[in-house]
Amino acid sequence: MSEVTLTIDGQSVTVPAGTTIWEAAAAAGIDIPVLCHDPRLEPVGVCRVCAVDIGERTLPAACVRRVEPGMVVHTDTAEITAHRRVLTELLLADQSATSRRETTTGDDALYALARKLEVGTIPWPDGSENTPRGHDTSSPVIAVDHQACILCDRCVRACDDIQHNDVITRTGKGHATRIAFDLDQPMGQSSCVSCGECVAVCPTGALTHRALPERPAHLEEVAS
Amino acid sequence: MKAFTRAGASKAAITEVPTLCPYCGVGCALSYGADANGVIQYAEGRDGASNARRLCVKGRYGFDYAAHPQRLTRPLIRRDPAYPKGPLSTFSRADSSGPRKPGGIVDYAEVMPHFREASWEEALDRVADGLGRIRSRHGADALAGFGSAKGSNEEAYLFQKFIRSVLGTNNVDHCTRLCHASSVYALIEGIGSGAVTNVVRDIENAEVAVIAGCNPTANHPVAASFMKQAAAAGTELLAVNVRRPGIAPYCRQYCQIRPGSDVAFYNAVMRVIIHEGLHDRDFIKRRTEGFEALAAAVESYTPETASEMTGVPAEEIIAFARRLGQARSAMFFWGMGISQHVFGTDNARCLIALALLTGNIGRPGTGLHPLRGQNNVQGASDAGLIPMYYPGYQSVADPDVQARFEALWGASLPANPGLTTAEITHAALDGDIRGLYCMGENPFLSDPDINRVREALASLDFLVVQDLFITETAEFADVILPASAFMEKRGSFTNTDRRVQIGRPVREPPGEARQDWHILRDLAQRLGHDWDYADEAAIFDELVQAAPLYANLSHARLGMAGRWYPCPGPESEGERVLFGDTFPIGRGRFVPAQLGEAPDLPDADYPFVLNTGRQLEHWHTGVMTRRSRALDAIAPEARVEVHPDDASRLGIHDGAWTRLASRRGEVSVQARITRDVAVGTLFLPMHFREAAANLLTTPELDPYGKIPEFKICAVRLAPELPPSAPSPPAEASRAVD
Amino acid sequence: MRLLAELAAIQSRDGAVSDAALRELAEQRRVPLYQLEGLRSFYPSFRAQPGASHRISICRDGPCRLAGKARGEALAAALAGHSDIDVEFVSCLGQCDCAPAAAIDEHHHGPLPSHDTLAAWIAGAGDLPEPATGMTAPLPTDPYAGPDEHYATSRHWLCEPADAVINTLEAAGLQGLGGAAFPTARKWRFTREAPGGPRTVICNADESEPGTFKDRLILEQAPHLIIEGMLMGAAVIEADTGIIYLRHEYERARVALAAALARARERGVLGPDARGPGQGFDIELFISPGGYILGEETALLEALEDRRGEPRHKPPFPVTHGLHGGPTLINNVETLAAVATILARGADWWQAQGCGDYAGLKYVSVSGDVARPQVLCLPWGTSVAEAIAHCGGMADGRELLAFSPGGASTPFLPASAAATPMAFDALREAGSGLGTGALFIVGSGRDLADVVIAQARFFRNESCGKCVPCRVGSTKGVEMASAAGRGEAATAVADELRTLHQTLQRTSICGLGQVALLPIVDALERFPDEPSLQALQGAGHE
Repeated sequence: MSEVTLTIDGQSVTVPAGTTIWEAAAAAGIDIPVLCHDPRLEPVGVCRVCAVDIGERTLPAACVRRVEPGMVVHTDTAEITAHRRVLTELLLADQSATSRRETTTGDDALYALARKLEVGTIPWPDGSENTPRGHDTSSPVIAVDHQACILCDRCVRACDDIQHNDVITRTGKGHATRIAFDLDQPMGQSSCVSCGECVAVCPTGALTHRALPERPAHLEEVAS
Repeated sequence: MKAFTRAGASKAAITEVPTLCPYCGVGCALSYGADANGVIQYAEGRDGASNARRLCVKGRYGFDYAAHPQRLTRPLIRRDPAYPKGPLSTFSRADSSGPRKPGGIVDYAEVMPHFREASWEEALDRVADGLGRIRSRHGADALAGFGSAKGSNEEAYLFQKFIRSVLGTNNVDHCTRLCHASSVYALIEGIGSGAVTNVVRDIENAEVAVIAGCNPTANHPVAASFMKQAAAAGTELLAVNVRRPGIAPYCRQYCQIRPGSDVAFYNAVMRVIIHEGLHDRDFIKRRTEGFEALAAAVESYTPETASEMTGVPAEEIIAFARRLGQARSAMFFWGMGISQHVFGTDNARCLIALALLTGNIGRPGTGLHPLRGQNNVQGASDAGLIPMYYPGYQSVADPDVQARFEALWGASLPANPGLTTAEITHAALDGDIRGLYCMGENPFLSDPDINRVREALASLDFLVVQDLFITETAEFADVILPASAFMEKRGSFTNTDRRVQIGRPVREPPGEARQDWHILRDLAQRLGHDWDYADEAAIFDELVQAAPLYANLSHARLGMAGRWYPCPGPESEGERVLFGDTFPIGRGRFVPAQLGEAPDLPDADYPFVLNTGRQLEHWHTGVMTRRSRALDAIAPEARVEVHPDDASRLGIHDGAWTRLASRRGEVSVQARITRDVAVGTLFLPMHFREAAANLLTTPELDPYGKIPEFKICAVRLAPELPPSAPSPPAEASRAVD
Repeated sequence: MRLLAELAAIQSRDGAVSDAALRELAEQRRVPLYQLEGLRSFYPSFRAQPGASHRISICRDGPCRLAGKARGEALAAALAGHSDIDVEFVSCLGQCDCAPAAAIDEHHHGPLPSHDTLAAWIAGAGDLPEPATGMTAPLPTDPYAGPDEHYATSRHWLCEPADAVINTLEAAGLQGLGGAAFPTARKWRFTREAPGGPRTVICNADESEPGTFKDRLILEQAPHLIIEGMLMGAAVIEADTGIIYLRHEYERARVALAAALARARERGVLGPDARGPGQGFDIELFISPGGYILGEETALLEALEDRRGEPRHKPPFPVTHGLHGGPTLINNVETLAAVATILARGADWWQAQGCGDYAGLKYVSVSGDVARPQVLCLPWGTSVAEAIAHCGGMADGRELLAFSPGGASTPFLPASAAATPMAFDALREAGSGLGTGALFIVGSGRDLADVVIAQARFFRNESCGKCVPCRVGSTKGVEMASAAGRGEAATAVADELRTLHQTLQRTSICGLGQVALLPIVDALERFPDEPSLQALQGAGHE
């Protein structure tokens, strides 16, 4: 396979053709933030926080854009940081005050990014109050909080492209889009096989484990 | 306008312990996130060779069984008034299968009064005495041991060593007998090796994959995800099954054959392949023997004849043969639908012959893969937990081998091969087996024909059960020893791919429960053997010394990722694809098979064929999974699957209570109406003691592999009369938090 | 396009695409349920439940809002108690020349009827008002005197080398007339040179931007020119498949196209030897299940591949990686028709048609506060003021306040810019754009803030929801601007809107998000003293 040499943040980087900017940057030790991307999944480039400047009219998503010879990439300009903060604020505007992920597995990527970008007051209208999107607690093991969902498509890809259980989709359109199971059944009544892959890849509190943790014997009465 | 508060939770208080999933043979690598007290908060997939971070519902959510309040924490000894022995809990009794009683796990309130807690000293003395007394009165062959494929290689190795060198008998076996014994027999006969020739994930290199008599989406879910992924990328899956498997929608072709007609189907496929010249003449010439006999044997199986036998249209059989015959690479996966028959060995012989015929062994994207069930069924067999082989499949009947093991173990060893699982219960009924050591097995529910097993267990002079809980089998025990759960022990486990990986402890066993290998060591010492091992790694080193199969492996080398065996050198990852040039027996052998007949066929009184098996959320006899809150909430009850045509004929609606009776027993169970089963056939999962499938099954065995016939028994189905007992709990989604 | 067509068939058969129907379809076609749910929920022409026996769909956008927001709302209120009638407000129906427009029972498109007319029609005692009539065939760009002459141009040009076709288009200076203004000859050349297959020619007949209805006229009156243009495209890129992607609201266009396609097949213009002996080409008429975003060419491709119509990332572009991954030539209706005209009359003739240095003829949809909204066929470079004059001048005695020359995505210019020639470069220099050639005229006395917020609201409503800036940003932006417009904003919003617009413009995947807030933000700059916009301007203007 042929190789491509490009410049990322002033650093010359040579990678195989077909590599994405995000991968090339990672190989050069440059960390471009992502929310929707997971290296195990085909990139979809929808959260846009990995936007980079390659001198074009718009800022492409580094996770989907492939490198080209001679490309000059800036990953961390003041403009890019400003856009990342706006995007993060927009998503936070629709979040509930606390993330269930922070209190279960403790790895909410949106909250972590917000901390990194030092987000403070959010200037955008509060979507969690005005347009509540609801919860789905029909599954015994997985809690669904549509309000915390950022439509990153990770669960959809994990369910359909990794586990091939073919249950999750996006339903609806525009701002009303949310994830759904089968024909928009409650998760517990869908064909979901509870593999938990969606929870594992979810970056927010939208999909979290319910059936946790263990209940140690000494805290329970002996079963009768 | 709101403000973002930066205070975040952290995972600092959680320690992630890299270990394995305790359930199936796929051998998924995972981490348990545990708090300071060793309480597991969550499971997360690791990038293991067989799972690439994927898990299924059991691995992800089924880990809490070990923290169940019913865990045994002190040894128990049967009280004197509890003799003579018999079942103690409701659903273990012969008259148990009344309508609509709540099921679930063994009720300790019914069982505990018959036992008293004891010290380890007393309990171990009791066991040593009980086993020793039988040996001195009736001889060592009046004793037997059931080990477990749930234990580690180290535990399996020590258990068989204990039975052989301390007790002095080869009567040692485990649940492999109920699983792939017939496949292993046919594989050793056909190619000289009982393990898989290629790993599951190499299906991505296969043009075609035959998915025969198995239901991987339920029983090997993570393996199934790789199969589906391969299908999405172009691999053509060809499924053959009496019951529509969950993977059928991803298959190019699904042939629903009649129960027990596998040999006819595959013989006809081979006949088409030979007649159309699609067989690999070069491979046959270079690598095999016996082709002419095979060709002659399949000649009478024309597609039309086979169509009548199998119910599959002749053109479907021909299409199947062409797809397979024209593929440049094909893999063969199979499961209990092939092996759990009285002609299970013949079924497996056909698949092996098909692979040899088409030259599909030894290259990427080719190979034979009997999907192993338990997380360590491969390793337990490798470690010698079978009556005819020492560790590494070295025959106990070979005097040279015997001499070598006598030198290694410093003990004299019995020369005659031992009895298999089902033979042991038969022998107990005949009075030939008087004492049984059961480590982690639950034969009461797992062996066929429970009414017979119940009698066998009750007739034993001495039974010791070593387990996490009081199982149905333990109700018959003289002594019950509290053992360690998966997440409390260190040890190696060998998955279906032959990959040997290390499981690591998250915490200590609760109360006075002990490591299984400590119990074995202490018993051996009591019986006059100076066993001493520094740790599990030392036991593994002795296993490697005993079994050349595991050469170049050690705990240190297995590390975090594990390795495949055979492992040709200390730096090698191990071999994925085996037998590229030759087979351990030189040439592969075609072993022709003719269509056999099941022992318990339908008639006017018992018109249905019952198939038994597993379901996604549960594991075997339910000892673990029915004690997992998550899994119990998702799948709390048994259902018998009935075809809608049969259901409407009998007036049975979905969820209705039915009575299911065979010539040996009967159960009450609710119906699930589904087209997954064919007209005239039923399916009942084996996990539910209140509707125990093995009350119905037949105890006849395959003559070679000694595996029981779990897949065909004749039953009668009828709607149950209006309830006399209270209604079952309303069906509702049961949340667990 | 198997699945979407099946869903459309189910919708038309049952009046809904029910769960039961989808379960059956999933079984038959061996597709997972989630995929069908994704489709059903994305496209507005599918409904999960059948509605009332009658459905009134009233346009809520641009010219229709200007002309009849109050009428629409009054009718909706009057019908609120009728269980047999559903009233809904929908995005632009492409009937801006009879604003306010409505669709009745998804078949009758035209002016919003009065309550009495509607009641009479439902009772079977009267007719619905007819849609506006525009030019009739032959159109000014139609080189043929009558149907018998149709396709004479392609008969000739099919014998010529592909380069000659491309060179002629180049000489004529034809640019894409769907709004993007990409040189047609270059697009054809790139697609021709792209290797691999399948190779497809697609006519984008999904114009849906408020104020845009000029393609409807061409589709209804000159479908043979579109077919001929596609045939030439197929000959040049060596495609055997063509698809006309038509918005579902264009019922009369569908009928006209179907008839023209049938005639073309009868005559052998389409069929196994369409491009030459043994070189087949045929055209399928695909009815879009709805949504403005489907006019975005890669969203359109997604729909044709049975997915949710969410735009793809570019590059790669459709010319090399289009339908099913193969080279795909996608042109707008007017562009393809112009190809036929240019090839018939010659590049020199085309060059001679424009005003001054401008070349060619342009169909322009004029809507809003003019006396006679209509489609005009004008020489390139005609000024906005002249176009207004062609439409009988301003309506209702209003003065020209502002105009948007090219659809909702082109900013409003003030009356002082009315002399600007209607051409890509001139309007770009003036701070707006020719876009789709949709001249939306707003007269004095109108609430310009309401108009521009409505433009942004249209984009918010039509956002596919794929990327964050567009999905969330357009919602937040419209919410803030609307609140400010109602005087409910606690603080100034202009700076926030500008910040938000910059993020949307720079980071959105497709043009929709990139321009979603432009109408508002640009108006705030360009009309600093416009009274209706003061509520949004913030501190500096208070």
